[in-house]
Amino acid sequence: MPTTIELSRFLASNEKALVGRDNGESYKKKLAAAGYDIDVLEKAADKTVLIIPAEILTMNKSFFLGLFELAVQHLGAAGFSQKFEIRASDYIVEKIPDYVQAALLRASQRDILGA
Amino acid sequence: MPKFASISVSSAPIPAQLAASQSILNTPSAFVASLALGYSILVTVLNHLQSKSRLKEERAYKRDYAFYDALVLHGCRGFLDFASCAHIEIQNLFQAARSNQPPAPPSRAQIEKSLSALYQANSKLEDEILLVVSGFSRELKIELGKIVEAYYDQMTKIFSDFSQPKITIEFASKQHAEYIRHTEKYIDGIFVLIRDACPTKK
Repeated sequence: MPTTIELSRFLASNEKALVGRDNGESYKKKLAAAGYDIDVLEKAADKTVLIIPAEILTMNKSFFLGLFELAVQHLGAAGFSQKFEIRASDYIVEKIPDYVQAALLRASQRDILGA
Repeated sequence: MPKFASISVSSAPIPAQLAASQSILNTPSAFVASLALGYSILVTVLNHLQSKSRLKEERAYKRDYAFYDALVLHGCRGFLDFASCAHIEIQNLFQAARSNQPPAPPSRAQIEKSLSALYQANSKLEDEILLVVSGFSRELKIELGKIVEAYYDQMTKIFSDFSQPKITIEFASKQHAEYIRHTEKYIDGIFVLIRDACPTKK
């Protein structure tokens, strides 16, 4: 049975955009404190569904990286999409594959350049 | 004196040569002349060593500057293109708000279009410029990357804020002021980093 995270429970009032790496990391901590530790969920057998409410216009790349960068790097692109499902506006969902590639690219750049 | 004997080319007996050289050094003018000769040789050798070292430094500087020119200065335009894209898209959002009758915020589709253009410009900058800058200096790439990401985040926030129930003059002025403030900070940050990374002659 999938684990479902309703992000609306954690949003600040009037929040319309999920922006910034620090903010993504902060949400990761908030979710962990509420029992939804992304580092644990990526190893769990069940799928995790993250529901982003419709009023959120965008989740930008740096926020996604703050929240999911390590999970993507541990699971790979295919593994991440099997383990995590993000339900959001079409605009946000369309960008996810690019963000996943960005997380993988960052890992390979770090390996190649040591940066 | 076997040491002298081994380098002597004269057929004169060794004690006679020694006596002759001693007598030369005994005259004050000859002594001064030999000191001057020694000094001159020393200066020539030192100059030669110094010019070799300078040449080496000059070559190193030229090499570093060529890398800086090709990998960093060439990319400067990309940083400005990103700020230009943000400027164009914020103008589009204001234009969309103005053209609505009765006045209303830009549509969600218009905001998403602007966010998408900003995202594409950011990706282009990261993939094409920052990666190349890392060929010159990884530290510079990391520092520039932080400034670019912070600007991208701020512009995303500003664009998203257009989904207000109502666009007032106060809101428009605040958005414009925020845009100017963050863009100035971005450009200043980029150029200070690029200026400080310029190779210098020692």
